Amino acid sequence: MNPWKRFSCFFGGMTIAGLLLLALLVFLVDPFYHYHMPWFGLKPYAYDEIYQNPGLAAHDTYNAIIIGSSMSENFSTEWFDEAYGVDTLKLTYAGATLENLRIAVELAQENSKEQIKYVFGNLDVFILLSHTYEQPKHPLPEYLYDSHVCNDVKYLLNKDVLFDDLTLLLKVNKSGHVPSLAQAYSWYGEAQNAFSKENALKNCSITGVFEEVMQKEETVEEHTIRIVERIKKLVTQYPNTTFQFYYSPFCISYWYGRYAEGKFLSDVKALEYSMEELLECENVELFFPTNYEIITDFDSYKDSQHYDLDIQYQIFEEMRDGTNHLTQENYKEYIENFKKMVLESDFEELFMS
Amino acid sequence: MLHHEVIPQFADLENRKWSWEHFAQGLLAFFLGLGKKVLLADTFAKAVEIGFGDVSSLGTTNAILVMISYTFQIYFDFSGYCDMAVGIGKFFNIEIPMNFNSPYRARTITEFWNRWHMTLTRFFTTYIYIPLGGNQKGRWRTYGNVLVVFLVSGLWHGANWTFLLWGLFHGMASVLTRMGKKQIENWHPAFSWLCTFLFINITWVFFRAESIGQAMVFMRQLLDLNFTPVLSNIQDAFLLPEIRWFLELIKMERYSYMTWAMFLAFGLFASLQMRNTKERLDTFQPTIGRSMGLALLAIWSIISLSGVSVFLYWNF
Repeated sequence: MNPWKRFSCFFGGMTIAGLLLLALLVFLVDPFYHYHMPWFGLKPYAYDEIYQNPGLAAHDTYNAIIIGSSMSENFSTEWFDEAYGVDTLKLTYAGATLENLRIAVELAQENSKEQIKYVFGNLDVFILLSHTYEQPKHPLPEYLYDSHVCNDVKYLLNKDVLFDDLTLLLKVNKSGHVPSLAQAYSWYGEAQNAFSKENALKNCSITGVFEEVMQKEETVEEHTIRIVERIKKLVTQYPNTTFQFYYSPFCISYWYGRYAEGKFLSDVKALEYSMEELLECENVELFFPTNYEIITDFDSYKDSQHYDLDIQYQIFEEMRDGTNHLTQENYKEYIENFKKMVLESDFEELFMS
Repeated sequence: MLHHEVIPQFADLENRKWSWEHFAQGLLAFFLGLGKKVLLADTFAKAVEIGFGDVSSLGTTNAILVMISYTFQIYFDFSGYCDMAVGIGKFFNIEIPMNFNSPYRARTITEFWNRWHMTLTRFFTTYIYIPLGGNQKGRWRTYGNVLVVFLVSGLWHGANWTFLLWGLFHGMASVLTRMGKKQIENWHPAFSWLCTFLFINITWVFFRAESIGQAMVFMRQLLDLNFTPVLSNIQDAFLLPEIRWFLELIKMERYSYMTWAMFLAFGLFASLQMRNTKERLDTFQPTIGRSMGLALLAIWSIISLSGVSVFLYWNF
């Protein structure tokens, strides 16, 4: 055979065979669960929401989901399973925007083999005030989110998947300590030593004197109206699903910061508006687990927003027991009490002591 | 490329016949180019991106590392693309003119421009330098023409003062090289090379910077003599997943923080000592071993085209 032809044919054969072999390996182990839940006795390990949520939504068995941001990542799905008699899957996205919430709900509704009974999650000012609500917080890998088979090549022939994710799944399984899916995406363990008053006050410029700051007008921004409209549209699309949302109890240092920026009252107005609108939906339940003891317990925060596992569990308990459950009759009272709680706090005493 | 370099090849009926020899050479050029682009240039690019993302806190060590990384990024990126074009041309029996002839081996700026982006240099020589009178109208006019060519070359790369300044620096260096040609010829070749390579590195900073202000901040960091350790995110940029995996496999993961040095050393070795694609094609003998080696490079490059993005959302 012509040596040039032999060279070319051998090269072509070797390259194609090598690529097929690697693609087969990724398909079999499937660290993002894009084709199947793990085979060969391997246990699933969830650590990357952006890449693993679509696969888990498509192939796990569940009839309830947890959505939202890092504020909901520390929920254990087992708490909800036991209390509500459901099978829960976590589909959170760190820093979630409205679009992330929508994607998570759609992934579940379109893929779950069972009717979705409950959606649990947080609704914060970050979600309600985001100007980029039409986009996910971080770009999503389309090849995992769409149904086109052709672009799967980006998953099957991907060196990060091969050398990082695939080996991680095998390594974690080999170690025998695979974190359960109930703890998926949980960051509490890593942040255990970060909860302190010092950190809770870190990004808050405290002068020690709570000066009166002129507050921005109490009007609801156009984009907040659109965000709430879209949440309403999303929940009404699935009338057989109950949506339980809670407003995250951020630390009082966060609200102090917003007051100092003159934005506290407009933030509260956005919360109030979302309550007013969402409480019109029959399948929405809202919770406001914010009380003075929680939000002034600085040692339970790792920054001005992120609380520890105890507070996370307390939120769950309130949702389960119907505590601080908002209704059309009481939500204004909750808002007024919250405003008072923040505005009448003795910050000098709280921050400097 | 100039018209006469390519168009006659399209008209040549002989070129429409299938050639296994040219196809095999095309495969070699194409995948060498792809490897340069995705394995080398893209890795250096990550470090450069980090460095130019926060110029003011680089310190001297990191500034040097980022500067050299950009020197290699731009070379492996551009010459990688050119090799791929040469390869595709070969598939169709078309000879694409050589664009890079190991430019970092140059000992003077004039030599550098005879080796770097050769098609553009030929284009400017034909359409600007010669019509302006070239070197036929006296010494000072020649220097002026050289400066004009480099200023146009700067603007050709983009409408930004940084490119104009880069062109001006190279124009002035070319003029000075011509003026002091005899003295420079007497320099030790290593010293001459070092001066040229340093000059190229420094001027690339102006080429890469978003503004002259940013370039000046970078230069201040470079000359600050503040030798801090290599930033961990720059170290990570060079720690490719396959390298980390391999180091773990051979139980040498403690050296993983040093991969930046490995890349820099390889970049230098590849651009100075290794034969360039043209030289490889000229002496290329098709063997099964080479075919296997090229297939491995192709597989490595192809799986490197996709990646998994890591989003470090500090606030979770």
